[in-house]
Amino acid sequence: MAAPNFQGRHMRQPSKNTLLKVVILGDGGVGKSCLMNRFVSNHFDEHSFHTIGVEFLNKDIEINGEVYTLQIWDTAGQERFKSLRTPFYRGSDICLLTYAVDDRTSFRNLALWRNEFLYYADVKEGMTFPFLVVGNKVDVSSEQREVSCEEARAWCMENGNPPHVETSAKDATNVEQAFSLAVESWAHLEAKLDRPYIGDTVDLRRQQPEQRSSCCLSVGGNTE
Amino acid sequence: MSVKAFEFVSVIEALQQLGENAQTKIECIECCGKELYVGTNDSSLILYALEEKKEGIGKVVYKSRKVRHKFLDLKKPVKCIKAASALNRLLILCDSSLLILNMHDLEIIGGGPKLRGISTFCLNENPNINNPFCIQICVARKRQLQVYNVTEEKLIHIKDIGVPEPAIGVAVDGSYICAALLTQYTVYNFDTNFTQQLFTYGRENFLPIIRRITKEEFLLSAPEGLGMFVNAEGMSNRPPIQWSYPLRALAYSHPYILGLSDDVIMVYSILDQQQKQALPFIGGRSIGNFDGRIYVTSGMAVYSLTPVPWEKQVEVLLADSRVEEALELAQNANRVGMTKEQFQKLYHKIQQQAAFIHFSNGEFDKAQELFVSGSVDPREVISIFPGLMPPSSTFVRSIPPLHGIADVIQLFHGDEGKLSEAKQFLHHFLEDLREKSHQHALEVDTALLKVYAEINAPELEAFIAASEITCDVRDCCDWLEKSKCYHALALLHRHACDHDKALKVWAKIISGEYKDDRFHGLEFFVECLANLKEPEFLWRYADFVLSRDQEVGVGIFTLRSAQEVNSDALKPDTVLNYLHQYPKAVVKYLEHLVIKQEIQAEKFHTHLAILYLEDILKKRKEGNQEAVMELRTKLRYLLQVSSLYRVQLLLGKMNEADLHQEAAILYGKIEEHEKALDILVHNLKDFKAAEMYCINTTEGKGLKYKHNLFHTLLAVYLDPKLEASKREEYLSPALELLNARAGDFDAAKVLEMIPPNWSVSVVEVFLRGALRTSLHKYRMTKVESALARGENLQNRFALYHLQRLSISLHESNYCCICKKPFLDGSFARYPNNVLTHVSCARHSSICPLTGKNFKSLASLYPGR
Repeated sequence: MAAPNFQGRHMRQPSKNTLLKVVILGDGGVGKSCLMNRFVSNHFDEHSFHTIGVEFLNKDIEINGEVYTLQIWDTAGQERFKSLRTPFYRGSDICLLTYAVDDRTSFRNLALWRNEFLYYADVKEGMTFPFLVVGNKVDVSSEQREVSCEEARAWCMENGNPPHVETSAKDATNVEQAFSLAVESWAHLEAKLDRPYIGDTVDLRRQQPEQRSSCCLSVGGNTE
Repeated sequence: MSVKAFEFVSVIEALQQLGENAQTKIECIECCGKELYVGTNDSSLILYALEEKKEGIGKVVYKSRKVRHKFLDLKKPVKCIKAASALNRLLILCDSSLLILNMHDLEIIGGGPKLRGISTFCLNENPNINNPFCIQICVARKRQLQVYNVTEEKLIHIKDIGVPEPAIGVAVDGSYICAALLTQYTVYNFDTNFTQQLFTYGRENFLPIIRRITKEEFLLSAPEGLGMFVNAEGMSNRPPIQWSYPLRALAYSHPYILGLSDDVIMVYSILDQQQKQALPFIGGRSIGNFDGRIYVTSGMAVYSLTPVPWEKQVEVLLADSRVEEALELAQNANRVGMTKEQFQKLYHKIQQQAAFIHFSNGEFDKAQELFVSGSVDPREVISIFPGLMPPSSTFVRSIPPLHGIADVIQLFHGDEGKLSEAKQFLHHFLEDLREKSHQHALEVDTALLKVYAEINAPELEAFIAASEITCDVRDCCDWLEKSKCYHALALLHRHACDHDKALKVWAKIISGEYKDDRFHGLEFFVECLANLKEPEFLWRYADFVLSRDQEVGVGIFTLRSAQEVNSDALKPDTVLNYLHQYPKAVVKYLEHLVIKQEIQAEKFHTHLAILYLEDILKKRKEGNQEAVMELRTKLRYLLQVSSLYRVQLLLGKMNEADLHQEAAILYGKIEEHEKALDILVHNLKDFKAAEMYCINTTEGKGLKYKHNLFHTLLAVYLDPKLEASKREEYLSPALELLNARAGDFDAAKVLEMIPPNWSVSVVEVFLRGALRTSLHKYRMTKVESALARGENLQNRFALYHLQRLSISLHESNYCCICKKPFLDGSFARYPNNVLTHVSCARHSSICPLTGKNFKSLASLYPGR
């Protein structure tokens, strides 16, 4: 399978709003559709049904003075739509990996969703793709909670260190912030792509002491 | 889901009526201009000529006539027909063979099939070839996709692409072939050999369908009743369509996707992927967009789906109150044959209609937004509120009407809550409108005024008083009267310069006939009268106001601007003459004349003083001390400030009335200081006042005058004619005066005046002060004398210096400037002995010959 023209999508006219395709993934019932609806239309439906196929909404969001149009794809988790994943995932700019904090299985499956996304969306640089890990349903009581925030952070550290945020679509906690965070993370990585040599090259002008201190830190980190 | 996007029109009602036998079924069709080709299940090709007739607005009727029948003799159904009009050729797939026919006589070119073993083929709708007499096709055979260019004469093989499974459907756009294989859709680029898998599907019961949508984008039938939009890169950039019924065939006519199922034709919008229409149609076999015309076939018949003009669709949507959809459709509509202005006009009209729908639904915010963006004629909105339109307006509602609203009362069935909301809406709408433009000011202002009056808005008075309104006055007046806004009514009369009516209304409010809390009371009325140029109103209402409140009422005279007072009708004498029955008013009026206007006429000043005096006496009799004090302050002020009154007359009256302070002022006015001080000291025993009297009176006067006055005061204190007890009493103020103001006395004279029996210690402070003062004076005089002598010496020196040198003027002397002789003996000399004519010496301090500046010396040695 040939590589899709992933980076080519971003060569847009600067005057127009940047259009970003955002895919929300995660086990059925973790609240993907609720998250999207809360973000786009700020309402919450206690008894929403399973998503059929895919749901899709647009919303403009302003980050650091620039307006982005988010094209949010809320894919169905069911098996019978699996064959359609490829066109849906492809060309995504941002992927939200969602789990419910009261559902350990959904958290365990994050790795599966991540791998599946990388495979079907044909993303080569999995470590640098802008994922966002979202733990939904933080409104549940602490007894019902099965996944702690620390645990989720630890998983993120091991998997390319994507940003992590805990939300509640029910009481609107952090929903707006989650999407903003995702776009910021995309913009950050995009800036790196535009200047591919920065970060990978050695800056000779950089002062010695700084290098040494960073060395010490990393050694310290390793021994722990 | 009730947009009427398309309508059925029969094209061929039944093949049999056109002479085919009962078993013949339509398999596929192709349409090219007016020629309709029908391929049948019994391997026949029939050519019909179509005649399209427009009937009424947007209605089309078809007439068809059979032209030619070609029997292909292959015993298999004709699967697919494609016309290439530029080549004059038909491409036909029948019995796995590709045949090429002449378009008109239907003769097979070359006598037989060009290609065999073909499962399907398609035309490239967007080929990368420049030759207009050449088309590109893609054929599917077994495990191969082949691209050919077709010209009038021959087939040119371009490319072969191997595929893993046999292809059962293909579509081509540019260099991209989208192929439906047995289990999956795949995109191939026959230029670059790029392959892109799209998605897979189960083999059973799944009918893959591909339809090109735009450049490099296809719509594919997908499992679970979905329609997937996929581009050549394998990405889905539009959300999928959820088919309501199993899909059989697809067509696309912007902005609609038409899905053919067994019983229904489903119409979806590509804009929001929602179903917009469902047309029942049983036994449908194929559907296609042939150069903009949609034809759908069943086994027996051919129908055209004529698109309902978007204007009409919008109309239907609006009639259904589906405002957002209507606006979206209009925005995305095909604007062919319309200039930008025309479209804008139409779109505005749609917005206006939409606004009225929102309005009827009580969504006033949305309505207002659309009214504004649709630049509605405000009169349309006003006219649905009964009674708000001025009868003088020439407005008639637009035809065809923008809405079906008779009026708001009928619309909201008299629901008070809704009605008041609607009024609020109109209120804001009109206010906004007024800020932006002044179009239709008559109707807008009238309506706004009426709305204000009706909801009793506090803005009403300010709105009228701002006098920038252009309302229908008569109509508004009736309305205001009806709404009991009498004050506003009067204001409006005044705005219309109908002062008579305005004053009448106000007078009625004042007299209690009308009630209006907004009215500011008599003061306001008086102000209005005072501001009126015509004095006739003033005289008419003078008694009215003065009998109510003399002090306020007199404002009709006093509040007038100064230049008018001198007009004949309002001469002070005339006014005073009139006012004599209102004593309080007279006082006010005189105060106004004397103090405000500073009219220098003795009679007014005296008159006012006497009136004060009379009042004081009256008040004193009543025992009202406070009023007496107040009046005396006023009187004193008058006596001090003015000096025009008849002093003797007043003095007599003051003495009669025991008004000592006032009498003292009067004595002071006629320079009878001794009497004045006498009163202050003896009658009032106000020593401080006596001292102040001296200070105030002598201010700015000479030393001698000062001495005199102070001596007078001292003499009053030390009057030897006084009895002993009194003298005791005045001793201490006398000493105090002497000691405090030693400088104001002539010490020698004082020493003469003070009684000889006083000890030195009593007057020690005075003596010391006096001594000091005289010593100071002596020394100052000495300094002055020395300075004067010095000045004298300097001047004499300067004189000597000037006279020291002599110059002799001879006939041979010439002026240095004009080189002419001195004729009359007058000359100018510069300190360096340069001589010129007086007239030639332009600059007194700069030598004209050497340019030397004597400015610094000029003061020392004046003269030239």
